[in-house]
Amino acid sequence: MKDCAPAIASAIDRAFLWFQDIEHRCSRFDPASELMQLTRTTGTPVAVSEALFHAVHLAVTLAEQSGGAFDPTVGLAMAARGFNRHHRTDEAIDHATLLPCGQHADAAMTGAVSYRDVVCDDTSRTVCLQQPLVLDLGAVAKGLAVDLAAQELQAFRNFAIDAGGDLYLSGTNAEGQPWSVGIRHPTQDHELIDVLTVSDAAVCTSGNYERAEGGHILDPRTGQMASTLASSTVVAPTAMLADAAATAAFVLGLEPGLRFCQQVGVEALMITRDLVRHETPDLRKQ
Amino acid sequence: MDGTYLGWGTSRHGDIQASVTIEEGRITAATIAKCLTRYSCSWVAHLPPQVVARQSPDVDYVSGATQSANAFYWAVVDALSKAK
Repeated sequence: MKDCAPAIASAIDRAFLWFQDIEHRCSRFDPASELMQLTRTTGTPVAVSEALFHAVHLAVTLAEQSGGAFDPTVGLAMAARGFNRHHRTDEAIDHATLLPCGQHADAAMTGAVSYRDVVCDDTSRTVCLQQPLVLDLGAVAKGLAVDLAAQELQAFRNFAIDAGGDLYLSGTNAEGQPWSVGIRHPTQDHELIDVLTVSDAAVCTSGNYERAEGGHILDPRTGQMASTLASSTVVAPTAMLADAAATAAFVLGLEPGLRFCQQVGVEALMITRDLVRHETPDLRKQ
Repeated sequence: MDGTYLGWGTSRHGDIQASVTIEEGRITAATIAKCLTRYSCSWVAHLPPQVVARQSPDVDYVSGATQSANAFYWAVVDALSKAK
């Protein structure tokens, strides 16, 4: 590996670039992002990049499978709750000014839109927004960036990516063992509540640790912030799936969340507000 | 490369500039250099120790929710990208 230092360095550079690329592509806070350009067209299929198509398609698929507990069409609902700061100018971004004028904008504002209004066409790689709406890809975009970064590092069999707690672990650690992943304790800042061992898998956690703010994970079905769990951690083959599934499971709550994870084919560790751990049967089998 | 790097991160709450110090290849300090978030930075001020603390001796990595700390996370990523 020492002889490969330049190759490693350039692969790591490319891996990092994916995080910037995906954020610029998928951000709803940047009017120039590919996502916000998509938002300007209603009723017509729009050809989008592979990365954006992949993110939207997965988000819609999980929305269907979770019965709408996870739904990427919450962009306007989130903005209405104050999650609307422009990322560079510090101005409030007004999504409504970017939507096609009109008659159905009210539907988007009142939350009468859903994932059913987003149609992805596999063959043409287009996305059609059937009503004015704003997609929030926060729950899938970071995972996608991790997956793309992981692809850059594939030639190096053993590696780990840590994107602020969203992880992809490939192969084994320096001791030749599966990677050990601590799960942050929901209330004790510097402590771990559990440890998982994983290899060739992503680990992502959704949670609401800060009670004062009321959290930032919206339950699209009720319009309220999801609050029955302290956190949900998902182990999955890809980070995008783990990221989105962790969010869906968090919104669904304990029993529906565990069922959802088994149905989708991922493993999960759910922590209820009383700090009791609940998990899918095969979580510890590697 | 060791040194101190600055990076900007964005979130739904606004911009944060993080300063990340690397010594002998490990992060030894991560602090907020500038805070342009909509809410005061006091809610995020406790986060920087996590960046350092995450390098726990007991496990290889730690998974946790990033929530509204996203700006800080992106700022750290941005800073680290300059550390290469």
